[in-house]
Amino acid sequence: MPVLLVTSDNEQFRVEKVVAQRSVLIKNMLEDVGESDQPIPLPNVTAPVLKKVLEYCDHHQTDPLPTGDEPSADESRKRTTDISEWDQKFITVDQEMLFEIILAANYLDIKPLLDVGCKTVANMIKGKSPEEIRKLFNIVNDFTPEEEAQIKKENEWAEDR
Amino acid sequence: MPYLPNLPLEVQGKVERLAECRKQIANLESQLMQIKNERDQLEEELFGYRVDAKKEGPEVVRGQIMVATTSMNVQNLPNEMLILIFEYFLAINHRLIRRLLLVCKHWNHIVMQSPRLWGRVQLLPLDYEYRYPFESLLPYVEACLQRSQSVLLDIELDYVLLLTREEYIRNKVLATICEISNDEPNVIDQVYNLNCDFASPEYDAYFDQTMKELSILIGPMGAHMEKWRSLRLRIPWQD
Repeated sequence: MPVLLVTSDNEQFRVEKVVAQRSVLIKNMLEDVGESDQPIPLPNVTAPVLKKVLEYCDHHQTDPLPTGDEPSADESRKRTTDISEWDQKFITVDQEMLFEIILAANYLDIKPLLDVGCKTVANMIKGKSPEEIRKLFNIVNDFTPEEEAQIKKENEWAEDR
Repeated sequence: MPYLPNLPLEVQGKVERLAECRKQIANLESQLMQIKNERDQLEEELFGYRVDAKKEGPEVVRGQIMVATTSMNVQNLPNEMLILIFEYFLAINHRLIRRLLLVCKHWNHIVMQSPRLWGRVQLLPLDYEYRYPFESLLPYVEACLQRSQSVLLDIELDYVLLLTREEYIRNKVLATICEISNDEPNVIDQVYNLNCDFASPEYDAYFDQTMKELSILIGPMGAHMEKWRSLRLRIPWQD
């Protein structure tokens, strides 16, 4: 049975239940209301972002669902930033869309997608100096030279090369 | 969080307590967030009154803040997500955390206020022999112990490249002879047949230094071991 999703900008998406249920938020909502053809409002997601997210859900609809909180699995998960080939292609978007996807994945509770998003940002800053990171994200350096010197001094132990 | 039904009373009590802890943490976090928001707002409001406001030119800085908030960017991500990004960034080398501290005040604040990001100690010989100076070991371990607060530590120790006494002495002998002799292959052969396993204060010093960080991690009478959550140990393999 298809499910009707409504975005913040009032666009409607009709998707298969198995696809929509990749989102734990939607899955729980569906379980709470039972069988019903009521549209599900998603006030925190816009149409372009939801379209992208659903593309991910559709591709991954047969993946096993994450089993909740297994701390050990969680830990080893954080030790690698590898991303599968399909996911990598999928997440090749501009910065704004990337952050929107991360936000949406968090709101909709789609852990694997949240991971792909966060890993991608982590890989973007890998090997970069603080100055290069600022440039990449358009961040203003708001430290005074004294503050910067102080932080460097306090964390001298990690000064590399 | 679902747990198995019909758990023994004692375990059930812990499950309930866990839920209570989570609730309290969520409460405190939301309070903290409110106070931080208020602080940020006040800081911005009071910006023009700062002693250094004149020379930095408040006009320009304000303009940049405006631009930054109009479209979605990394600075608008909720802290929880930034922390997750940082965790992935630190996956291979934990000491890169210093770079995050130096990007801007916002990132510095998040990293310093996230004990979770400090709940790791990574001691890899490759790091301290080539990438970081030896003296940096102790301050690093101490910073992690302190800044992780009540978060338990995941410790990675790699002693695969730790030299035995025999290897250490043989390397030294070899290096010294090679400096004065040109007949290298012959020298190597001869040194390998030497018995190099004897007492050496120099080796003891080398070994002690390497073990120092371990004793800090253990703490006086094992006091810090309460803070260990996991330990990954790589040691040299010998037949």
